[in-house]
Amino acid sequence: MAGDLAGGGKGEIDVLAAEKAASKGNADEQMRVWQVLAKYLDLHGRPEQAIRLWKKCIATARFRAFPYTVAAFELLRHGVRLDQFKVLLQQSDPLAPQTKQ
Amino acid sequence: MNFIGMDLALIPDMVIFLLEGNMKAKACLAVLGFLLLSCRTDVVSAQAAKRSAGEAGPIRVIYLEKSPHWADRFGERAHRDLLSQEIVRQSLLLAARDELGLTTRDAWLGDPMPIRGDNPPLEIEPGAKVPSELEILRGFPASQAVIAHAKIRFPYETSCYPDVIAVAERLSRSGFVEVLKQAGFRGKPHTRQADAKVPEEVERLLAEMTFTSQFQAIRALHKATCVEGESAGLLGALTRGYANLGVLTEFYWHPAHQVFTARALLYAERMASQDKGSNRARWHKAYAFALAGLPAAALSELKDASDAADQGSAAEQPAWVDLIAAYCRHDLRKLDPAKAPARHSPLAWLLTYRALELEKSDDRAIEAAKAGLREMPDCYRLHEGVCQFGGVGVLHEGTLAGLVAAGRKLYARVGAMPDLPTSPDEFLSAAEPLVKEHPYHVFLATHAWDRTTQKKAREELAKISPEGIELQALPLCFALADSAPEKCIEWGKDASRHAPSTERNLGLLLESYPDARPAAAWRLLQISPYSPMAKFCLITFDWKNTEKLAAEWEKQEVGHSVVLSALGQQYSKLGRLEDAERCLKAAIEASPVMGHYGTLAAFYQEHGKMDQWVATMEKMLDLPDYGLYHARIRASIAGYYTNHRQWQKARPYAEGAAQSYSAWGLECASDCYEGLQQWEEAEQMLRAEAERYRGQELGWYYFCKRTGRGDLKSAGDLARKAIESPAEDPIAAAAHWCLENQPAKALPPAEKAFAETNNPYSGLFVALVADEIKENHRRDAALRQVVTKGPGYRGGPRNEPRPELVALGP
Repeated sequence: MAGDLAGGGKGEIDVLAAEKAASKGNADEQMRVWQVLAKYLDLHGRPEQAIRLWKKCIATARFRAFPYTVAAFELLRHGVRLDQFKVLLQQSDPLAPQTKQ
Repeated sequence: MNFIGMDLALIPDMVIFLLEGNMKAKACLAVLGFLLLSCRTDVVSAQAAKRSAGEAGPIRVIYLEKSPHWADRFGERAHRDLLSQEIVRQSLLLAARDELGLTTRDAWLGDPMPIRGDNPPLEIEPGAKVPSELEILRGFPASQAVIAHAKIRFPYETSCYPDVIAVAERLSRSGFVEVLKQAGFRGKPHTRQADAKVPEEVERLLAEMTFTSQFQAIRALHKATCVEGESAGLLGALTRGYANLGVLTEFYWHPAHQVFTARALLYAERMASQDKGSNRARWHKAYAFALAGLPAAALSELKDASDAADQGSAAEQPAWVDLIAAYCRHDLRKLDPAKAPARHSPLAWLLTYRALELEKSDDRAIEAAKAGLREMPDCYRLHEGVCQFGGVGVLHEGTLAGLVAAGRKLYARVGAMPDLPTSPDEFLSAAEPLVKEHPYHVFLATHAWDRTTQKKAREELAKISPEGIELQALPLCFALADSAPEKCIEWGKDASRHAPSTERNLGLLLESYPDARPAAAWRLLQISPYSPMAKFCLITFDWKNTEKLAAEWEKQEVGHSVVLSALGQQYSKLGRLEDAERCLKAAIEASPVMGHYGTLAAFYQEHGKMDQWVATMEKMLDLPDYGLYHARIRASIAGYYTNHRQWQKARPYAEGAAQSYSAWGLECASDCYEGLQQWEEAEQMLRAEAERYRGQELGWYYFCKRTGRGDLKSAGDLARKAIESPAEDPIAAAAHWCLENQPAKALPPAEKAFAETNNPYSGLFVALVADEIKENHRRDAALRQVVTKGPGYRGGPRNEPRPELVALGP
C-alpha cells in the first residue's frame, strides 16, 4: 500500500499476488486481508476489484466476523444487498478446510 | 490447646472462595456467619491470654511463629513443602501441649503473636547451612536469637513422610521437651489414663463431616485429655478429628489445613508409640495417612494390621477401616455410602467425592457431591466440589447453596458449642478488620468489568507477598499473567515448592505444571499405587515407559474409566483404531458420563467418521446435564451442518442451543437464521444477546448495519452506550464510527487501539480511515508502524503473529 501511495495512489496493486500471499495465513487472516485490500482499492478508484474481494468475504458466511460486517456494509453502500447471496450461501466456504461429511 | 485462631485465619479465605462465584449478596450472609464464629472464638483466645498475662509464676502459654525461611533454606531439596514444615512445627507444639501441659498459640492459625513482654515467641527453622540441623529461635522480630539446635534426619525421598513423622513425634516427647525446659517453660505431661473413653457425643460429632462438628469434637477431646488423662482412645479420636478437619479445609487459599493434617499424623504416631504394636494404632495411622493423601502408607499399615489379626490380635476393627481401605484403592464400589456402616455414610460420601475429584471425573464428582449434600447440607467441602466441577447450570445454584446452608446452619451450630462467649459486638469488632484487610481482597476487583478498576486491582495485587501460597491459590497467579508475568511465575514456583507429595497436590501439579510430567505422575503412582490419575498421565505423557504395562492395566482397570479412556486416546494417536475404539467404548461402559462420550465422539470426528460422531453426540443428550452441555452439543452439531451450508439440517440443533440463552447458543442460532436469510429471527437472537450480555452489545448493531435491516435505532443506542463505557476496547468505538460513516470520529480511538497493541490490523484500519479523510501524514505514520512494530505482534486465540497483514503495509 505504501508503495502504491508513493506512486500516486492509483490502486495499482497486484491483487492476485496479494491474495496468493494472504492464502498462507489462516482463514480469519485471509478475510482481513481481503477486507483491507478492498477498502484501499475502493478508496483509490477500483470499486470493481473491491466488490469482488468483499463478495469473497461474504462467501465465507462467517457472519459475525468483523471483516464480514464491513464487507457487507460496503457492498450495501455500493447497492449490493445480502439478499442476493442466497445461492452463494449454499456453496461451500472457500476458507474452510475440507472436512468429510 | 490452641484451636482458637483457626477461624480467624480462615474467614477471609472463605470470603474469597465464596465471592468467586460472583454472588455478593449471598456472600454477605456467609461473611456474617464466619464473623460470628471467629468473633466468639477470638474472645476465648483473648480471655486465655489475659489469664496467662495476669498469672504469676511460670509462663503457661507458648507462641510459635510461622517458619518464613523453611522453603528457602531447603531450596530445591525434598521437605521444602508445607506438610514437612508443619510436621516439625506441630511436633514442637505437641511437646508444649501434651508433655508440659502448656497453652499453645500458632501464628499459622491466625493467633496474634506478642511484640513485647516477658514471653517472646518461638520459631523453628531449618539450619542455614544444613537444613536438617534445625534451629529453634526465640525473641521478638528485632531481637530473635537461636536458643537451641535439634537434629532431625530427613529421608532423602519426599515419599517418606512416615519416617519424618516418626522422628518428629519422638522429638515431641524428648528433644523438644528439653529445649522448652531450657527456655524456661515448666509443666507436666498429661497423665496416662488407659481407660479414658471417647464420649459418645464426640463420636457423633466426628461422624459429621462439617468443620464446625470437627472443631467442637477436637475441643472436647483436648479438654477430656487435660481433665481425665491421655488414652489411646482419645488420641485416636484426635487423629480422626484433625484428619477430617484437614480434608474439610484443604480447599481454602490458606495453609491452615496443613497444620491439621500434621497434627493428625503426629497424634496417630503418638498413639502408636504408646500402644506399641496394636492394631488400633495401625488403623488410626492408616486413617491419618489416607486422608493426608498418602494411600500407600495407609495400605501398608492396614496390611500390617491384617497380618497381626491373622496371628491372633484380638482388637475389634473400627467400622470405618473398610471405607479407608476402599478409598486408598480407589474402589468406589466398596465405598458405596448406601452400604456404609451405621453413622459412617458422611465419611463414605466425603471419600467418594474426593476419590472422584482426584480422578477428575467431573460428572460423577458432581453427582457424589450433590448426593452427599442431601445428607450433610453444611459440608462446605462438597459445596466447593459442586462449584469446582459444575457448569453454568449447576453453578447458578451451587454458588448459592453453600452460602444459604451457612446462613441456615452455622449460627445454630456455633450456638450449640459449649464454652464460647456470647457477645457479638466484641466478636465483630475483632473479626471485621480481618476481612477488610485481607491481603487477597483486591483479587476480587481483578474480576471487575471496568478495565480501569481491573488494571488498578492487578497493580495492587502484584504488590502483595502471599505467605504459604499453595496450588489451590493459583488463580492469584493467573490474575497477574498478563500484567505482571514475573510475579505470576514467582508465585507459581512458590506454590509448587510448597506442595507436599500427597495425592491431591501431585494431581494439582500434574494439571497445572506440564514440566512436572511425567516425573510427578511416577511419584504419584509410588505414593498412591491405585491412582487412576497417575496411570492416566503416564499413558498420556510417558507412553514409552508405560506401553509394556498397557495390556495389564486394560485388564486391571475395568472399573477405572479414566485409565481406559487414556489408553483409547493413546491408541488413537498411534493409529491403532480398533484398540482405541474398544478402550473408549469400555470407558463408557465403566462410567457412562459426558466426558467419555465426548472423547469417543472426538475420536470419530478426528478419523472422519462423522455419522458416528453425530450419533455419539446425540447419545450424550440422554445423559444428565450439570452445566450447559446439552446446549453445547447441539451447538457443535449445528456448527458442523452450518459449516457445510446445510442450514435446514442445522436449524433444530441451533434452536435447541439458543434455548440455553447463552451468548454462544444465541449466536449459533443467529448464524443459522442468517444463512437461511430469515432476517427477523436472526435479529431476534442477536438482540437478545446484546440486551442480556455485557460486552456483546455490538453484535446486534453490526447485524443491522450489514443487512440494512432490523431496529437500527435501538441497536445503535445500545452500541453507543457500550462504546462509551471504560470497559470497552477503543477498537470497538473506531468500528462503530466507521460504520456510521464518520471516519473522522473513528480515527482517534483507532489510533489509541493501535498504540496499545501494535496489532497490524488496527494499524491498517488507522491507515485506511486516515486515507479516507485525507489525513495523509497520519496514514503514512500508521503504515510505517505496521511495518516496524507489526511483526512483533502476537494475538488471536493461538497468540500468533500476523505477517500477511504486515505485508500489506509496505
